[in-house]
Amino acid sequence: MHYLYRYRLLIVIYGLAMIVACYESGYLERPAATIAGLAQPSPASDVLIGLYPESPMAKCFRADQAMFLTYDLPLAKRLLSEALTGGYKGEESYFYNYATVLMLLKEDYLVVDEAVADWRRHDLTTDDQLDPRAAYRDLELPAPLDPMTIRCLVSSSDGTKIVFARQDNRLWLAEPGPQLEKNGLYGVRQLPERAHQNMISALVLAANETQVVSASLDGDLAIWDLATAGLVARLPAQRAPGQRSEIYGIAVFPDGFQCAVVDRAGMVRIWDLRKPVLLREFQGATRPLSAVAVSPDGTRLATGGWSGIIKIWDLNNEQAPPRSLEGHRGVVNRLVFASDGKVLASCSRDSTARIWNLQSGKSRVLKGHGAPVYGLDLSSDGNSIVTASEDRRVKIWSFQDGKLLYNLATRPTPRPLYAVLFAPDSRGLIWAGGPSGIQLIRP
Amino acid sequence: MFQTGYILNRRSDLTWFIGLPFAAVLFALASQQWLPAVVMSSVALWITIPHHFATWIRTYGFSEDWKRWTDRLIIGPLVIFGFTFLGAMSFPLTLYLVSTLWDHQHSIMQQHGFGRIYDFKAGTGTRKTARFDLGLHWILFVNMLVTSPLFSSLWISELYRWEIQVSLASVQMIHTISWTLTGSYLVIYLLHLGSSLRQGRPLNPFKYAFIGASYFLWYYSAWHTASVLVWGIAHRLMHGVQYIVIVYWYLRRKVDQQGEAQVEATPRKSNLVRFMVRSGNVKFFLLIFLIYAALYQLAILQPLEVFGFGVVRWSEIYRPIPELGVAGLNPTLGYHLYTELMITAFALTHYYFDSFIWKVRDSQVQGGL
Repeated sequence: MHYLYRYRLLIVIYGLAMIVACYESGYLERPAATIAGLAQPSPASDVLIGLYPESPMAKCFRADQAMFLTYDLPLAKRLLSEALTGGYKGEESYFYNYATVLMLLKEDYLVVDEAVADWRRHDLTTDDQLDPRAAYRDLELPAPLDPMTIRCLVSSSDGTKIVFARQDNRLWLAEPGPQLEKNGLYGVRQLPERAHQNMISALVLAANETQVVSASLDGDLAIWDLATAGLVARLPAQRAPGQRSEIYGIAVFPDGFQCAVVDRAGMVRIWDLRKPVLLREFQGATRPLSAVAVSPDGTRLATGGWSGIIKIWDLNNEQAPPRSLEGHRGVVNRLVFASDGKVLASCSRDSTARIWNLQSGKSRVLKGHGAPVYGLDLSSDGNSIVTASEDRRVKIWSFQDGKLLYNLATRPTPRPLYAVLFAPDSRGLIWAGGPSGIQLIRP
Repeated sequence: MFQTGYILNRRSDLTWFIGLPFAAVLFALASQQWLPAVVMSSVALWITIPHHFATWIRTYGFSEDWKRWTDRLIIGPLVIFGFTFLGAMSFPLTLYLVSTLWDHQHSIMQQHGFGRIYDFKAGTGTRKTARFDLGLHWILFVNMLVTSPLFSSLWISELYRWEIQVSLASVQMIHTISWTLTGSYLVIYLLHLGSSLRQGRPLNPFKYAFIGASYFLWYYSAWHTASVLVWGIAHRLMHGVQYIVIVYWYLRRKVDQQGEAQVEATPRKSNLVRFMVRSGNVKFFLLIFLIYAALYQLAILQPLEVFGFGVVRWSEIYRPIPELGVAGLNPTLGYHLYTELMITAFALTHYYFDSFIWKVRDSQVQGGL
């Protein structure tokens, strides 16, 4: 007892610390993977902006959100400039962000040099590799992912044909093989022809699932025959002078022969794939559009963009203004209509997914991911929704009440997932995993 | 009503215990205006590291203290270094939390200790005053941590890092509760002072000037700046310099007393201390502190800016270490572990030793005050 009393301070401090340590090592999830240029704003930023709305700190937090969630670099530059020229020196990383924004905006090198000098003066780093002039020399938002990352993944309704594209220019086909029953692995093969000169950014099955349409960052489309794995047609990029034409989203109409495409210029284009010919085009947003979905009856189009706003377009009434659904605070990454067309699911860089009631315009927020959500799918039985995130987690939620049902990760090492699909029977998931590349898992 | 007593003497107290906090704030704000961050962090470190050394001198270099606390001076560092090693390997956020909270507790206790010395020297306060003073320090300091913009932004961010998501309304409620408790306690404290006076126990005005100056530094810095580095410089200047001053005078007085009582029996270990604190040798005292800081700098195996960088930049401590347990030992890991031990373990050991070597009620300690 004498010694216990004598060492009571150490015993109390380290006893409590061990409890905290158990929580940290056992229950606390490790920070999400971050990639240069894809860092996240502080999750506490909303609270701090609300607490000190007029402070330079709040401006810096809002700049963080503009930069990382909506890629709105001019807004980030304005906010940071206001905060930092006002003498705010609270957090050295904002000087770094300012230099980074200028670099990404490709400002004059003298201006960038001055901002880098300011960052050097106010930060403690000596790591030259972090210098924005080096780290962001050729980078443009959205930052490219690892070449092996599967971002595009589509499956036929019976699950016998899965098409996917890594972050390169080639298309891959996955089919059930002998390993599927044993360990859930699909057999995969690369399509022999090369149709795109730039990264494939979106995929969709068409023509009663006999064809697949791929889109690329060059703005062109390619139509492939799934039976022969051959290229059927190429549709060149459509762009006005001075416009960007990177395609970020593609969706097929219920007839299987028309598709809608959205691009960086904010354009929406509807193609007839049989001719193929451009049927219609219109300006969907002033900022880039990143996701598109067609309602099951083919009368409405949902588009989502970098501003976080989702718009519902009535295709039967061209004059009617679109209906806006506002809630997401980051780039909308994917949109999916429910089979009845009354509900729309969306996911975003703001680390949430939402289930929208299209009659009321209200949404249920699915919170829980610690990083941007890219993968999204609804089960064919209409009961569940699955999300995949950069935080290395795949979550299955109840479609009815938004309750989290499963929290999954790839094994043995959890890694960020950017695409996920429900298996046709709604009891399994198809995601990027295993040595072959595509894996069926049963939660 | 008033009974003045000094820790050192009137002029020195006005300089080191009452004037210093104001000078430290001015210095910190000037640093923010004109100095690069690397220099600012180095300023803070070159005060902090020598002030740890003052503890080593007092404990390991002064035979009286060594004899009294031998087992704690051996076992304490072993436990602390072991925990720091484990923490750096496996639970870095916990290590950071322990280090930060203990640092704050340590700061509170140091100011409380000086207040106790003022009462001891002036013979002021009642038996309950020590408890009321301690309560006052905790309430005021914690209120600053909870409500100031600087620390609010830190602890709210930390809570989110620990996956505890607080809402804006709950933070505002916490702020309100904190201010209410602080105001209520101040009323209670004033009632206690009134009660003391009624009992014929005078107040030491220097003690309250000292407390006021200390909290001016903390509150002004925490509200005026959004930079933890600026707050840190002001705080480190006050905390470190005041500590070094008290250690110097404590040792000098103890050595003087020993000199009178047992010149012949002085152990060799105390000879260096005796030389350092001899009248006129204060320059050697300070020089040895600076040599220690320089050796410490060299032991980190990095130049000044990297040293400052590695210590102060929290994100650099966070980012690599969560992966350490997975990556296994490599030169980078070894370096991070080494610096973690050098910095955190030394600081924690200093906090631990100070928790028992400065008991003002201890008659042997009183001899040096």
